[in-house]
Order: sequence, then structure tokens, then C-alpha cells
Amino acid sequence: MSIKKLLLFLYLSLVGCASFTTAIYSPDYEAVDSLKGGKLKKISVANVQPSSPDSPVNSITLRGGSLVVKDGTFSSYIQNALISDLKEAGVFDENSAVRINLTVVKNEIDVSSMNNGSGNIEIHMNISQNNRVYFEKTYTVATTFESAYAAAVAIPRGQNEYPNLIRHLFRKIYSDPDFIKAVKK
Amino acid sequence: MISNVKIKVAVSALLVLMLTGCAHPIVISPTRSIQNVDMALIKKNVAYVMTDADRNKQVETGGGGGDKVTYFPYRDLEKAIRDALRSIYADVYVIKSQNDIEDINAKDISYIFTPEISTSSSSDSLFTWPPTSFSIEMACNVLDASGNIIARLRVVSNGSANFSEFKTDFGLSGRRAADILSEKFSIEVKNNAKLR
Repeated sequence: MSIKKLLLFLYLSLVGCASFTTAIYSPDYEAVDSLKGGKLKKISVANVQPSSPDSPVNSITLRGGSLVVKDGTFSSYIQNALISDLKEAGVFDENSAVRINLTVVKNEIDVSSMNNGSGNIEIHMNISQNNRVYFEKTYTVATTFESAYAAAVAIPRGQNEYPNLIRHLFRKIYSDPDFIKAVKK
Repeated sequence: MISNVKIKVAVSALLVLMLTGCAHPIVISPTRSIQNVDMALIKKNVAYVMTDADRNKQVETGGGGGDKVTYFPYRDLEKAIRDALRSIYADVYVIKSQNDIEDINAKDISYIFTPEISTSSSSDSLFTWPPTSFSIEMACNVLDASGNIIARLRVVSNGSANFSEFKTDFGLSGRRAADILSEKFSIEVKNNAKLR
């Protein structure tokens, strides 16, 4: 490796200015398993809003570097996570009249502090049947994690936190009796 | 006036000093999922044992330039294990213990997989910390619903990545090893007549 490349890498590692890919979503499988056998309706999932990549909730920066979703936005990441979980639980049907509609209100990973990082997400959910909304609720999740002075440590920690934040979000939703009641047959 | 060369040397030395000795966090979750082929599924429910204590187990292995990397092997590889089993059996559950007979019976579990994971990593670079080589070894005893061992599986996978690939995904060599682990584990289970 050339010295120029080394310096560039070190610089990017420390100061940002690069883009970092969000790791693949890995669910809380105990929470997903809890949906099985719960006699739930078949469920479809609408496009998570806002879908525009220019929306503020579809942009996360980690000390100047961008956290990005491979081939999509954070809204599509959340949508794919939900569909994957519902398929795993055996309750997904893209043609179902019962539809979960999610709007991302807040979507943040903060590694600006040298001590602690934080993740915050707020999602507004409504569930409709034949386009008539019969359930609405807002879910908020906050996580904290160890940050660091060196960006080379703090940025990967922030990068790794996003799937964890989404895992916490869906665990909260799947264990919510109101949600379960809304999708029960 | 200080020359550009001196500034570069000073900056690079500072950067290296700030990085040396760091334990850098990475993720080694797979980059893709094994596709579930419904037609070929064995019509049995299976479970694997994993607890929150397993998922919270953090390990530290080698990176480049004398640095280390840290990660959570069970948490990151759970999806790889689950997807492999999901590609073979009708349904897959996670359970906290192979001794939880009530839970095993309630879920009509036929086989219980007990993965034990060990990892190692290294880098051939003196200057960059992400590992260029990653190895995962998974030993997995398989029990029947009564707790008898019916198979002992062992899968080893290796992944590699170079600078141009891992500069936005620091755990890429590990994630590639996770992909291969999932595929090899799936093949190992499919090829074992006792696990049909």
C-alpha cells in the first residue's frame, strides 16, 4: 500500500468524510418466534415513509462520515426488516388487506460524544384493513453504547449500532399487547 | 517554515499513535441470506440453543498493525445459523436450554442444535487495522427431543477482504466467512442422514 493510501485511510478512519455501510439486520429471534402460533392475521407491509433519500430521516452522519444502506434508504431497511420478520413468523402475505403502514419520525445515531453514543428512533405505525385505519400507535426506542475519542473506534461503533436499534424497535413492537391484539384473528 | 514532508510525518505519526493499541469494533454478520427453498423442506421443527449471555459474549482477535478487533460472534452469527436451518426444516425456533423439555414439547421440536463458535483473525497489513483474513469454527452437537446426541457437526470457514473492499465495511472478511459458514453448515446438515 502506498503512503498516500495509508494516510487517506487513517484520515478517513479518524475524521470521517467517507460512507460506511449499515450491517445486515438480524432480528431478535425470540421476539419473532413469539409471533408464531399466535393466530395472527396475514399481514402486508406498505412502503415505509418517507421513501425519499433526501428526507432528513434517511440521512445519518457519524463524525462527518455518512452511514448508508446498501442499495436503499433507512426507510427501505426498516421495511425489509419487518417483511423478513413477518415471513419468518409465517404471517406475511403481500396481498393481504391487513396492511402495516410505518412512517419514520426520528432516526438518529449520535457518536459526537467521546464517552457515550446513542441511538434514537421514533416510528408512527398504523394498521389498516381494506384501506380503513383501525390501529395507530407511535413507538420510540433509545439505545446507548460506548463511544470513544478516536473516530476510528467511535464510527464503527455507531455503524454497528443501527441494526441493534432496529432490533430493539421490532422487539418492542412484537411484545406490545396492543399490536398483537390489532393483528390477531 | 516547516516543510510539507515534516507536517505529513508529524500528522501520520500522530494518527498512528492515536490508533495503535485500539480494539476496533466490527460486525461479522453475513452479507446475504441463504434462500429458503420451500419444496425441499423437511417437515420437522428444529431448535438451536442460544442465550442472551451467548449473544453478549464479546471477543477480541487480531487485526492489522498490532491492533485488535472486537465483536460478538454469537449475536452476529445467529442469523447465519438460523438461515441455514431455515433452508432445510419446516420451522426453526431459538430456545434457551436443551433441558427445557416443556418448551421443546410445546414447539414440537425434533432436533436441537447446540452451536459453539470460535474465531480468529489477522491482517497482513502493518498500517490498517481491519482484518484481511478471518476464520470461524463451529462445533455443533445435535440432540433429539430426549436429549440424546445424534450427530456431531463441525464446520470451518474462512473469509478474506482487501483494503479497497473493506474501507466502508471493516468486518468484511468476517462477514464473508459468515456467508461461507452458513452455506457449509447447511450442506453438512443436509448431508447427514440422521438429521432428516
